[in-house]
Amino acid sequence: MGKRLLKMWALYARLDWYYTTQDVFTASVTIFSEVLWGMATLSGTALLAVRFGGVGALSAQEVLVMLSFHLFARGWEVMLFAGNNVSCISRRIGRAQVDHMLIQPIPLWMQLLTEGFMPVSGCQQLLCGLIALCIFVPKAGIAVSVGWILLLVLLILCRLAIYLSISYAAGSAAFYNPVGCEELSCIVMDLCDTVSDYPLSGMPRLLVGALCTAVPLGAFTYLPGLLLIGRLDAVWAAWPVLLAVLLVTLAQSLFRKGMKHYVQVGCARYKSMGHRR
Amino acid sequence: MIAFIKPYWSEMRMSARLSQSFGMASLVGSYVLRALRVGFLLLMWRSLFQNGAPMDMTLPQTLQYTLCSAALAPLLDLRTPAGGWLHDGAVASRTLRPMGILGQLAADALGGAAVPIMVFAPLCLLLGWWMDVPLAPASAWFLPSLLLCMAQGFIIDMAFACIIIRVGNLSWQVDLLRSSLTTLLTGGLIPFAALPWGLGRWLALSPLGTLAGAPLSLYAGLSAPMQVIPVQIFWNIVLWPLILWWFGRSMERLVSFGG
Repeated sequence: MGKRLLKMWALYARLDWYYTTQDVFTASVTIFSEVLWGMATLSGTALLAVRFGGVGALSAQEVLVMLSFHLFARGWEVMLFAGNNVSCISRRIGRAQVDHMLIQPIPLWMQLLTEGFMPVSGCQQLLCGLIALCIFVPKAGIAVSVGWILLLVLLILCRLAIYLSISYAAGSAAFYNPVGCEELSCIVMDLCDTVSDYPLSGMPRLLVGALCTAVPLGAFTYLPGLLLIGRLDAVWAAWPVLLAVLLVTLAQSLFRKGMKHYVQVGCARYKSMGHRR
Repeated sequence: MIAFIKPYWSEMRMSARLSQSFGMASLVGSYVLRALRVGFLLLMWRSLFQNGAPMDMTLPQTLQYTLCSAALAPLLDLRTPAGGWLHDGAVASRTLRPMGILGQLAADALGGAAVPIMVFAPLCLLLGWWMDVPLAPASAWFLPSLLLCMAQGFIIDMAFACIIIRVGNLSWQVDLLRSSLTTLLTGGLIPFAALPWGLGRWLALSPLGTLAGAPLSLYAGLSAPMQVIPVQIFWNIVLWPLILWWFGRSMERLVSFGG
């Protein structure tokens, strides 16, 4: 099984390489646009933090560390799961492409784990995030130890789990309403991406509490950021882990239920001639 | 006159309906989420001001700026379906219609903007009323500035369409580039007065800076009309003939598959 997984990842890496390097111009435009997009989405908050010497109780350097983590973690999301709409699962469900997956001689989970791999065209944000972490973490006076790196890895894994769980939980609605919910995962992901880079420091406590629990948008960047800059004790790292486990369980349950409905009802998105409605 | 306008009006109506074709779930979801995003931004501004952030604008002006930016976002950063038509090949069939391609794009853009504004602007007004934000524009020059912004936004969108044609239909990449540039450089998200290192002063004179930033600064009373309107007129006069010429040249190089 492990060998098969590696073979699948190698296959999609090759496909991504061929796509990106079809010519120098395409490669340059693709890489440049991804880098610029990654930087631009955080630049607003970063410039505000620099202009005002911080946001709430966080200093400018601490906000920049938080945003660097956001960019780095999002880079992993893009590189591992952005290809072929794996993270935006409602599109595949709503377009009846689950049928295509079910007839493959590969387990569904293996397809979803590997098809999104884009190491060439999708690594730019990850690299930018890594460079940003290397620049801003020392500037914020954070001591980088083995424990800190392990904490970083744990928080990225938790974030990936939470991100995909939310997408798959929302995307499960597409099993019941393929057309209406085709873009639901993308809408929810867009919210998570655009709201999670705002530092919640200084906002009403009730709101911050809600965003770190019931509506876990704070678990994307704010909570991990506080852990990485040392504002919270390491014991609080158990909270994103717990959130990840809960959300994965919920997403799995909703997805299975939706799949059960789907195999009974199907999806009438395709005409008999093969065109999608 | 009516016979001339009728096809464009039909185009606008079709575009307005098409923009909501994914159904209620998508509609409600996207607007609720946009409202949450605006709410976050407003709370962040409040937090900054409570911590005594030195700014050339007051809190009510900042909140006013943010709400107006959210309510009129589709007009402040006018997007035509040119990128989509080039990507899926619809542009080929569109050129066969007895209407100019530019007119079709403009009608589509306005039609697509109508429903989001009709739905979201009242929500923003309600939010503003609840947060005690002054809702009336500080200057009547806001409306002509908005019209100039829309005209300029349209022609800048045409420029990006030309880029898509020239780079061989890499629509996604050019769209990312465009979104990256407009996020920060138009002043739609962050007022220029809030940018460090005096960046705002230079951006306000740029072709992208005179998009959202210009009418919003008049709405919130951050700039004098004579500081803003002449710059917008200048960029409209410079960009329209240049980009129309470029568009004409680019259409000759257009390659379209599908449709």
